[in-house]
Amino acid sequence: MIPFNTISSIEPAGMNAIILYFHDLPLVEANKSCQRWTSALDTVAPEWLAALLPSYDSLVISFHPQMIDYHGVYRFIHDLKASDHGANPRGREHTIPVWYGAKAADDLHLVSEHTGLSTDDIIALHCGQTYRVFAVGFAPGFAYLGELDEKLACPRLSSPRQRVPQGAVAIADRQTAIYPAESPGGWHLLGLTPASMFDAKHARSLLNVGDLVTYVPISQEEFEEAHYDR
Amino acid sequence: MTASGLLIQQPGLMSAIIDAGRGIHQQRGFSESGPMDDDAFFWVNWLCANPEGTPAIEWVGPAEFVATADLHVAVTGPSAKVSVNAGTQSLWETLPLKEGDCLRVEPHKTGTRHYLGIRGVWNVPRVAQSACTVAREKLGGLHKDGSYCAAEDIISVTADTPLTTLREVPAWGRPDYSSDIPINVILGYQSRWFSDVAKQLFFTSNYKITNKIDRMGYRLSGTPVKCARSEMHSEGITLGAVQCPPDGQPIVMMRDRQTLGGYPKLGCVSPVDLNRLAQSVPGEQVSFQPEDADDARASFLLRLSRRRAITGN
Repeated sequence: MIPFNTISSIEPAGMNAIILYFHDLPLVEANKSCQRWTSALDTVAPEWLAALLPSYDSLVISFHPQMIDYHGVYRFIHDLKASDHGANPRGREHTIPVWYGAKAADDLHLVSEHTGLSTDDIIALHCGQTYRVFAVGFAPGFAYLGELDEKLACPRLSSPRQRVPQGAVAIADRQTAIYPAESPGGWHLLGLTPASMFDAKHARSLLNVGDLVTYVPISQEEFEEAHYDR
Repeated sequence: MTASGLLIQQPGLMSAIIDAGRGIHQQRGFSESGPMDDDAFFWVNWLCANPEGTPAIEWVGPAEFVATADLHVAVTGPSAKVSVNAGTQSLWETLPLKEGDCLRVEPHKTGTRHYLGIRGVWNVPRVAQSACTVAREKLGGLHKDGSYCAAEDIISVTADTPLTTLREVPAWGRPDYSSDIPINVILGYQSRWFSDVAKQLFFTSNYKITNKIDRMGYRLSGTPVKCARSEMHSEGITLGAVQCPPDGQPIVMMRDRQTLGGYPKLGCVSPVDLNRLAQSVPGEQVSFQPEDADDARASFLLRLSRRRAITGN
């Protein structure tokens, strides 16, 4: 399958899926391309579409093989010309409150050791910029946000924790994320948010690819108030 | 319309409510979920005259169920001893149960997955349009928390129209579970990152099914398949994807896999062959052979035709 437009290559991802790569673009541009294709396919919603898996710089398109083959899917996306639609769908903007240093989710001292920054500097850097949602995956509602300031980049824990609490705000490499539910995890934790990341009943995730996120620090009292109001 | 039910007397291992899964919701991070053996799942619902995709129970090991009302059930999967009260019954057939009847299933091989279907509409909770139990995500299932079925749980079903004819899947329509036929793999994803030698080794070696197998993935052990590169951004993982982590021991990604991951992938197991892998048990050997995507689709379409020849629609 010959790539076209902003697509750098197209590979089979099994008998009933193909994956589009956008490796020739800078990461944010690549991610915007993924988002455009995802949104174009979501909007047209062809009946053969089984699943879309957008990520940082790639998009898996799964199809129902009784309805179409990968040549047909290739032709369909070629005709769709999503990249020509120009404007990117506007992501929603979110402000996520964080109780930094909450006892249940506090690796600030470890991050301090890695980065040489003071706790105050870590918090100031973490909430001093707006992040883009590059991907949603790993677990329902888990959003990968980037790109974190290089000064804050930390490796993953050498051995993952068995239990990371729900609402934990975490960092790894140049990414930051919020754990939507209690789960195992290997990222460094900075604090807790009372925000609900995921609505299981309606299968809705608060954050979606292309959304913009800013963190704001709150106190323990504000956290508890927000938490019990939910 | 009356609600009737089936009491789970002995749940077996990893006894889970499953249905067609959460395919389209993977975009929001849900596991695809669904049946590990989709052929056995398809037939168990046909035997119960249920619409395709009606829930069923998937489990491992011996299990026992008691009917709390008259109902029709069916059991599918690899070879097993099936009995109702003291009488011997068969897999792949509709089984009428009277209130109080006890259905027992004892697989001949430890570790194979079996499916129980019940005629009617299942009154079970749904998340993202699916009743699938996903232990890792703590969602779905009877208790809405991803926990498996337990003894004393009752599956409530509403059967509005009585079943007048009992069905049977003819021998030629049943899945072939032999593990000595190579499993087809469609090359793709990062296959270009693997040297020809690495690919040759993968396709000429036998791999042992380890005991690290679950609904998320099957870890194999054997000749390492090394990938020349490893840095990549996480990307979508499809059903049957063959991941090769740095130690070179392949992991075939199954129904409850995470949606995104960052290990290089050599390709994907053909959906038609995945059932055989899913029904392999620790200690068994499997081997792989490359298959063209078009040929894999042809096999898939042929399987649909064979099904239609039996179901008539």
